Amino acid sequence: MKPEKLLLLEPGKSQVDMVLQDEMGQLWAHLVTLSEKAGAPWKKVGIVSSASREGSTTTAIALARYLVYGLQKTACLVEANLRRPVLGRLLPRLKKGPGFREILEGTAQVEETIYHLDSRGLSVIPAGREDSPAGYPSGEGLAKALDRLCELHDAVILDCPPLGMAAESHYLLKGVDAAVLVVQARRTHLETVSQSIKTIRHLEKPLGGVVMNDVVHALPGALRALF
Amino acid sequence: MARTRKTKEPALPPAPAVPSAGPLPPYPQGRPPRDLASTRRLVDYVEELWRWRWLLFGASLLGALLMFLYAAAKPNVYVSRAQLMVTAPRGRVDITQVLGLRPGQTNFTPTQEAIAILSSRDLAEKVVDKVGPDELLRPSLPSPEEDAKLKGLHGFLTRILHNLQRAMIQQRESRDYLTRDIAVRVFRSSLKIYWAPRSPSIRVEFRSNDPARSRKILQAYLEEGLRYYIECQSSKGDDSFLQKEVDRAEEEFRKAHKAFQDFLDKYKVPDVPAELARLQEELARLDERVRQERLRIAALEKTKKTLQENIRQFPPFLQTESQVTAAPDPALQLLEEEILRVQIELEKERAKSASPTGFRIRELEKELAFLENRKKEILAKGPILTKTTQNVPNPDYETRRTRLLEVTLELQGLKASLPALEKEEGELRRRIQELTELEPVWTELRSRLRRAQEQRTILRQRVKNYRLSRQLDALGMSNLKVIETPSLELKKEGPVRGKFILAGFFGVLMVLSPLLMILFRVSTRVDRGAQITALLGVEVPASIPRLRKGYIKRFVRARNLGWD
Repeated sequence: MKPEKLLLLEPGKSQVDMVLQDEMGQLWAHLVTLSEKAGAPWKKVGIVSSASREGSTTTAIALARYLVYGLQKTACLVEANLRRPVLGRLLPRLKKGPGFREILEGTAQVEETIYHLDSRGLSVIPAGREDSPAGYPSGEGLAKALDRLCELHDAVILDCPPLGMAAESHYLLKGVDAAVLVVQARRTHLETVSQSIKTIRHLEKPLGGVVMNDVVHALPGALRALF
Repeated sequence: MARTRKTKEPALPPAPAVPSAGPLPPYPQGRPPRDLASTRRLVDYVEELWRWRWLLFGASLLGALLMFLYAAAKPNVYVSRAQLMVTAPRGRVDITQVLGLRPGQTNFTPTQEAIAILSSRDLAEKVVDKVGPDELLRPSLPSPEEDAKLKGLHGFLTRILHNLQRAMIQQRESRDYLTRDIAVRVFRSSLKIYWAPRSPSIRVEFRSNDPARSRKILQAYLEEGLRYYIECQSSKGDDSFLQKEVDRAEEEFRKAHKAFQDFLDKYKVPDVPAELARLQEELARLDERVRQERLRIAALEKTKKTLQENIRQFPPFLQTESQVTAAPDPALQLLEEEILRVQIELEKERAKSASPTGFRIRELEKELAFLENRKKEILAKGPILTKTTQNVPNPDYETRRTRLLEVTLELQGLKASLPALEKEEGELRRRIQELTELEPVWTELRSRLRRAQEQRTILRQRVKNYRLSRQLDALGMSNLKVIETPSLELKKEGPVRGKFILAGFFGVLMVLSPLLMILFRVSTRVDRGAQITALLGVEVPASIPRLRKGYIKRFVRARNLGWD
């Protein structure tokens, strides 16, 4: 299943949604525990992976959906991965209007870029105009935009570009409260995971945990039970 | 026995408080894992094999199929069987008693003695001599015409296999002096002797692709076996059979020696490989020399061409001034001729005209005056001095010419010597070619000679041993009877083909499975969240399954059962 199609799932109607709700519940509980230890609530969470197509978008969408449909909070999913935008493929109207790029460039206000997907509080900010990610602005503009989003929502989930490929993910992670690393099972090397964790720690951002994606239990249950 | 009541020991003072060492390590039950391989469990390996099950199964099936085709193309094997019985000697003196051994301390039972004789090489050689090596080695393959009648894949594979076997037989036949040895080896490999401990019966089997031949050879073996058994057991036996062997070996040695000597006489080369090595070295040196000369010729040709081009720039002689002489001015001569012509014409005009002052006369007088003036001017300049020159040889030209001459001479010398070298090289090559062709013949002859020599030595030794053992053998003899004549089972050996197929299947499986295991063990990819927790100390609170129907179901089941 394509990650963007998760957005259109009917809440609580499919097995996929239920599994994701359970798993994201565990992740959020873990994040809340860590934030309580840290002494301040974490409202801006960056979802990042080591390489492309490892499942950061899937995790970000699943987490945003859990916050809205599971905890009845308002959440904003920010498509900060300007290199490989996917939301526009799902909803063509998201392609036309301003998005995260325009916020960073200062040509659009935060409120203009928010698209409310339903009445329960799930909103998204698409990537915006498709262009080269060169000249990714950082600093005050980004921090202000994220603060404004926090004022408008209970939680902001940033789908960041891969750490190993894009330098802009470093700027983005500086603006979030915590980072969650996504690792694809049987694909990502241990050394790469270790390197990504070091990078996150180097940015002095708390690591909220690792999410294993694309987990496959190939062995049939009867055979697995023997061992 | 009175019971003693255990008295209560006084309570020990409380142990001093140990400061906490912090949170428990992730692997409190043992040593923490240091690398990814140490975090892998047995179930992970099983799972890895399960992932590749279709590849393993497919490759194994392919291996089984190939082996099935190979087995199907193999010729049938027919087994002939016979049974022998050894009876204990009557009135034989027990050797154990003679030697002072306790019963059971020796293993020399009559059956084992009989088996030792039946499986001996001497007996095999006797059988081969009796039936003839051809009988054993003659191909039992169908003719190529019969092979051609077979169709389909089976026919194709059968033809390939039979052609290979024919080629091998042809190669074997080319070494005729080894034929007997090969026949003995084939006979011994086709013969199987079975017996059970403490049993007097011995079963003998002979396998062959030709059923009739199988029975015939086994019958010959039994006959020769019984004869040889008697010879070996008899204290009155003679060594004539061994002597025949020795004679045969002597004859073979003489033949081999003569063949080798003929070769040496014909080609006059005692050691072909050494001579070949020497000639090759010489050829290499000659090659190098020819190469150097060719290079030198090329260099000289170039120098010659350069000199030839260069020499054209210099004249062969240089001109030097020697005398200065006055020469008549050609313009003055022309002028005088012109004045003469004008004077003649003026005289003619004056003679013709009535008036001495006519227009034409005036014109001519003016011209004459002009020419006279011109003549005076030229005469006033004086005579023209001309210089005569002398040719002197040019030293630059001469130097180059001398060098060119030297180069040309050297070039001619080299060009004249090169064909001789090339001819020598060609002869050397021809000789090497000749020796290369001779080398296998020489090697074969020499090995034949050595083999015959060794065989002769061994047989001489055997005769000595036999004579010694005969002197020692005075303990009587046991009896050997054939209780089942050679039979023939006219059926293919089915189980062998089944074994081939099983070997093809499991062979591939046995190779591929460990290979996959090794690759999995050395892989550095993360499989489970627990590995990250154990090795990097980071929590993995959530996992997302592959978002497909079957995988999600298994993921839920695994999570509910607490499997990682």
